[in-house]
Amino acid sequence: MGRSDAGVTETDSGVRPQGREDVVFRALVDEWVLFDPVSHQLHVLNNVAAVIWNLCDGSVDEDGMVQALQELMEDAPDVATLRTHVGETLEAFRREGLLR
Amino acid sequence: MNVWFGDPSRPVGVSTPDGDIAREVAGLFRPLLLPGHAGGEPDIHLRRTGKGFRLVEPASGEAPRQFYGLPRALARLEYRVVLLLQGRWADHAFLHGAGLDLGGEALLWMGPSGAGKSSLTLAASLAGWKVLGDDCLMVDAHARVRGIPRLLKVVGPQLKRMGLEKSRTVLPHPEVSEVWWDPARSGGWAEGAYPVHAVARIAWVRETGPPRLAPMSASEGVRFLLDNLLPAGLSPAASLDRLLGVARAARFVDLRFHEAKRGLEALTAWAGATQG
Repeated sequence: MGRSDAGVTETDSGVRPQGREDVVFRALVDEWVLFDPVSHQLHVLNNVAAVIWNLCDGSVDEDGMVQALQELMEDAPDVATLRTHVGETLEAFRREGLLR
Repeated sequence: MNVWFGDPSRPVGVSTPDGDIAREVAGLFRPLLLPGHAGGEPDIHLRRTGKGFRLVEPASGEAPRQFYGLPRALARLEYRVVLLLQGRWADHAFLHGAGLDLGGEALLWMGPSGAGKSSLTLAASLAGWKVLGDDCLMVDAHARVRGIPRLLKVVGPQLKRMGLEKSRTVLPHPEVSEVWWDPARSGGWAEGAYPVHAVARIAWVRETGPPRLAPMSASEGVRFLLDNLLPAGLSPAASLDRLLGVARAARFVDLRFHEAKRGLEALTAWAGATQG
């Protein structure tokens, strides 16, 4: 296992995203928020994105996230749609500098 | 004579040259006055000189400042006392905003410079509401809010619009265009810590017409609160849980108004109607 330049944990089976430890994750009424204490930006998450963020602990790759969402969601969309959700959400986390 | 303000365990002290000036200084933050407090060395010294007044704040590292008239010296003193009070209450999150007591809960409003905060606050006070303050709000660990009771800054056009006589204001003086209104002369001060019922993002608009209210989501509200954090007290990260506490309890609304009195009436009517 090694660490890539993008700050993600890599294994033979794939990239395992890891959120920055200083980013604050909190519930807010019917949404979730991430607060970046460096940029002072507040990011609002829906339930799916909140689950994905919680899976960004360096132990789950994208396939594992898709599988976890399938198990957690009552009316889960098909795998291809979930894979798109996970990919786009992780890309957004990366773009905002929220991943290690 | 020394004048002390704030929390008795961590007061802010000002030494003054005589009783008359001490009374002027005491009037700057009357709700925070600690009469009879026997503190140590005052933080700020207001001294009379041959040319006017000198303000000395030894611990600040700033050079003493000379003022030819008392109003300007008091204006500077008032600002420095606010900074010292913020330092004493550094375990709070500070917001740049104003508000009033709405049946035991706080109705707050915030907005950028020129948005009409002071106009709304003055309108509220003149309409008989108890106001929390016009500039600086503090959020405690229970997401309750209290204000630093700064006198309301009023300029000529506001005086005229509100029908106020300059002689009724604090510091009426030909030297300064800005005078101060003491809410104790109208609705009074809201003292103590309040749970927050509602927060308004306000904007004065050039076009005449009725005020417009539009709801905001809780997440928009938190962003707005973060935008209005003052660079005092807790860091933004350390303030977050308090602001989220406010956002979970409060409603947020966007208010656009042309006339402060009507804007205030629309805001208080909306907030009152949403109270449980």
